[in-house]
Amino acid sequence: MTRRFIIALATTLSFYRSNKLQGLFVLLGLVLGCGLYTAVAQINASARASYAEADKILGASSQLRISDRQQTGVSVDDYIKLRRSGFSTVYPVLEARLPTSEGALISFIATDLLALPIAPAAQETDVENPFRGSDWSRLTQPPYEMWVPAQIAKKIGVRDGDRVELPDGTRLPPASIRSQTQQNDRVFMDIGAALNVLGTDRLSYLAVGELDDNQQTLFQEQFGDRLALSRNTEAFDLSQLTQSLHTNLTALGLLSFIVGVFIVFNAVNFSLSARTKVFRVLDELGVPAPEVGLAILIETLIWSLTGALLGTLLAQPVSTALMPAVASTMQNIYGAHVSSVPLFNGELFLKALALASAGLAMTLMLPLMLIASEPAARATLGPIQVGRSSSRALAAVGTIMILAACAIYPFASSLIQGFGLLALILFAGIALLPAVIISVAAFGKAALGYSWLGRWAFADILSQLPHLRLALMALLLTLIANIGVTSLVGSFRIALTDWLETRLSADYYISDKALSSTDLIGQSWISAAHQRKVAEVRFSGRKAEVIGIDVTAPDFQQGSVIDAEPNAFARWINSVDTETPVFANEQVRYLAGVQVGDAVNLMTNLGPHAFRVIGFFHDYGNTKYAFHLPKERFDILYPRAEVQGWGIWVTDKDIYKAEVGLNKLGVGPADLISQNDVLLLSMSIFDRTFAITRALNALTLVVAGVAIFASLLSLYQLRRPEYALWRAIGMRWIEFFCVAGSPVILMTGVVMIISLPMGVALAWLLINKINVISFGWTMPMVLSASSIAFLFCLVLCLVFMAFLLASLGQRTAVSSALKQLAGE
Amino acid sequence: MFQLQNIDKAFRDRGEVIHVARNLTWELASGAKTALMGESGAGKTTIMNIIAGLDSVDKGTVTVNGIKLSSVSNREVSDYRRNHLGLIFQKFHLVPTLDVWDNAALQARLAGCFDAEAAESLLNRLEIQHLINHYPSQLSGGQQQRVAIARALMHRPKLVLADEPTGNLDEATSDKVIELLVDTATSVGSSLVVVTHSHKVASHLNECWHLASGTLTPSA
Ligand SMILES: Nc1ncnc2c1ncn2[C@@H]1O[C@H](COP(=O)(O)OP(=O)(O)OP(=O)(O)O)[C@@H](O)[C@H]1O
Ligand SMILES: [Mg+2]
Repeated sequence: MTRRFIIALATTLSFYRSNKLQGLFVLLGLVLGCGLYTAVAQINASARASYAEADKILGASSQLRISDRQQTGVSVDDYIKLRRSGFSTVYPVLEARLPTSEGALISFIATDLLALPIAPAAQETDVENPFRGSDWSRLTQPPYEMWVPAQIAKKIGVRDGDRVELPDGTRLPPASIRSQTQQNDRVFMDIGAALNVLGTDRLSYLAVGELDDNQQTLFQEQFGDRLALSRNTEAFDLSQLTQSLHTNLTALGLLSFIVGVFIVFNAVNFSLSARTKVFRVLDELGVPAPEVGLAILIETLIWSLTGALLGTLLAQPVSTALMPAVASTMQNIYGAHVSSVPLFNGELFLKALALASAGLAMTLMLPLMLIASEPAARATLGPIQVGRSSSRALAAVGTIMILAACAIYPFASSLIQGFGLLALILFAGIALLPAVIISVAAFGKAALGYSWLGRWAFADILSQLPHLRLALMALLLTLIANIGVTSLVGSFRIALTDWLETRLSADYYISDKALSSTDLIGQSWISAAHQRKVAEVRFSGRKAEVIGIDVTAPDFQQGSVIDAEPNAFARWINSVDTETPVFANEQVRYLAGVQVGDAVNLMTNLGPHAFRVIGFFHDYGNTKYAFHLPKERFDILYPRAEVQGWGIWVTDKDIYKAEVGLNKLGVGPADLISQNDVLLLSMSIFDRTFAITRALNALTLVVAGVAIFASLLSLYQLRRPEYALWRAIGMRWIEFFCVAGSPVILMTGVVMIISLPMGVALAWLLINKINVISFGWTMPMVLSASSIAFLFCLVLCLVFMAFLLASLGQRTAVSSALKQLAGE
Repeated sequence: MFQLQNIDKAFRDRGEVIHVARNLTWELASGAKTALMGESGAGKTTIMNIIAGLDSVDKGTVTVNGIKLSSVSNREVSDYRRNHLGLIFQKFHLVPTLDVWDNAALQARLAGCFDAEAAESLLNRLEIQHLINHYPSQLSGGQQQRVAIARALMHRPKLVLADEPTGNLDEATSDKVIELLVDTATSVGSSLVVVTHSHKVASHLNECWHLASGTLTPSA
């Protein structure tokens, strides 16, 4: 068997020597598909690893958290008292996010190394211990040291030993650059150093492992009046919140893999049908069919191994390029800290290999079945008839899918169901495509029947469709996804800008708490000054904020309220009802299931109190619940609440006058935030956050373009003799374009037309289902005609270029192609 | 009609040189109908391609219809093919998505000289006028070849080159098709070269040439 088999294998493989381009496309499809998928998988894996790491070292794994009942944070005194009372497993955590004098934002985390459950000195051999082997003692002694992850050091331009300066002139401890990723993208300091440098005496919270019942009772007795013990639900919330982003990324990764498979399918299909002769010859030479099958199998294995290997290699630069964007998404939307350095492991390679093999097996199945089962039927029927009847069946499936999606829509309430809906929409579009194209061809033929060229062009759609069908489907898939996701991001950007402009309508935000209203009254440069006060409570298992609002403040007005009871704003201001009227953010509505008119119970400084939700407001990106109360009412219920500072509206926007005035009042630059800067910063953060989606979108578009090009090329290779004949009887380029090129353009047009409503439906689902399910807020959908038009122009150019490139080869080699016609 | 003057044509295939034409000279008078015979691989198709301007010669000159092919642009050669040349192949190669009428009219339309009345009478003469709404897949081989003949003749070309036009047909159909081909070519005033392996087919034409080892000899 062996010699014969090797000859058989060599014979089947020799196809790719003479058809290098087809081989290239099999490889390209696999590499692009596997590469993008693996890159995304790698990003997800790294992010998850980051969560786990964060859990391991910095207290997120602590089951319990201790916080102050009245104020944010916990005082150092309380911490010391707790330790002295025998709560030896309690350790402090201080988290902060500060701007440097150069305008970069740094996240800090600090803890007491000696109090950590995995104290560095105690467990020198613990492999998991990030402090093992480090000279951690330098962290705890002046001038202290701060550990900066290498990727952050690079970002903010810090070198070993540098002392970063804060806007108020404070210098941070010397930096020590770390390659470890345990602290993710956060700068690590010892708690002593942090308190010192940041000039505070309050810790963010205290973390503690598990406390037994005795200890809990003891805690309640001794500290219960001031300190609250709570389950650490944040870790849970976080993984739930970020789940949707990861699912999103995975879906995009899979999408590019599917598009890659389309390319492979084209190439494999072509290579198999082009080799039917070779297989027949092998059969006649006495090579048994199983051996030919085995040869194909080995070929497949070679392809998937190379594809997976190169794909994994490709994934490295791609994920390295995308990871910082993901890290900033995590930081900005979810407040999760993720390392921006992607991890690699062998499991991912195996996954890519499995994926490549599965994809190849899938692409092999259909053509093999066709070749094996009914070569005769195919020859007589021709691909056109086969295409027509199968397109009808597909259209039926597509219609059923759309109906199913409509039926399921009201009931979809989990992320999986939401993504199921998305998949239904996407695949319904694909299934409907061939039937729509065939109808358009029939219609066009009837409408343009008087012109022979038009008749021919529309008729040629039917001969091209079977070859281009898959590539067009891939294109449709990417276009739908593209329009959907772009509209989502665009809508979000507009909604967020509008919202921020109201929310941050003050010109300055002053955090100086010493400033009193008497200081501000009578200043000619102030047109308005309003205070917000905040109390932290819990509602429905999550953190919630009750905010006291100046009813005349421009940053929360009647227009900000959505879906309110009649006359709600006036009732809210007067607070005349027995149940205190309150506005809640949308998160309360979608995540906690509260409706307008429902009563909610919240803790106040006077004890539990019943409120009546009379309306909602948008609160984009907030992971907490929020309730708005008029300030007068708030002051009664929360006398001990913390003042958030002043929002100042400047007369005639005279910034210069305002700065001089503020200076006179003794407000330093450290206590002053220009809202305009915050707005700009927020938008730049937003854009960076969605860079990942945009990048993946662009990449899938490129892959779809390659798919079109690949199938055009194999189509032209297949029809070479036919086209040669056309040229031989004197067809000019422009006529060739009309007959062979315009169908491609036309079909692309149909794809675009279908993609528009489907893409809008997708955007609608993303905004009103997925978004609500995962974040608890909605926004008005805004479609950007210009960006969709741009996308379509881009696709048309791409397809036209593919046509030009693929048809270029047609001009030459007419005579050799005609030899085939001459009967050879 | 055309003039091949001292042409040389050879293919190099892995060191081996195959001579298709060696100092070959061949002239065809206007209106002549000739058969071109020769063993498989002798170079008949190559010679036809050279006359059609689809292949070049290594040496010598090719003049067709008064045009010296080697000294004019690709565009002019293409115009010559479209306006003055009819091509017929062994496999009929009709456009499967067009009906008989559109297939037959194809080249005349490309040449911009389509005339519905003339087309009708041509299809009548070829006895396929009743099939004009059929598609190629619904026709027999003989019928398809007649459509191909109609396509090659409808624009009244000066020269028709037919490369084994009956190669795929049975003997009775062959006879009928070649008869019709010669008949219609005469009626539109075209010169005709038919490559064939069949003496029976060759007997329908006025003269017969034999190609072997790169040289042409008239045969009886
Ligand atoms: N492009 C090419 N490259 C190399 N050799 C070629 C090429 N085209 C033709 N040949 C060779 O030139 C010779 C003549 O070929 P041609 O097709 O003209 O023969 P033919 O007389 O038409 O044969 P048949 O009767 O089988 O059709 C053959 O030996 C062929 O192998
Ligand atoms: Mg030949």
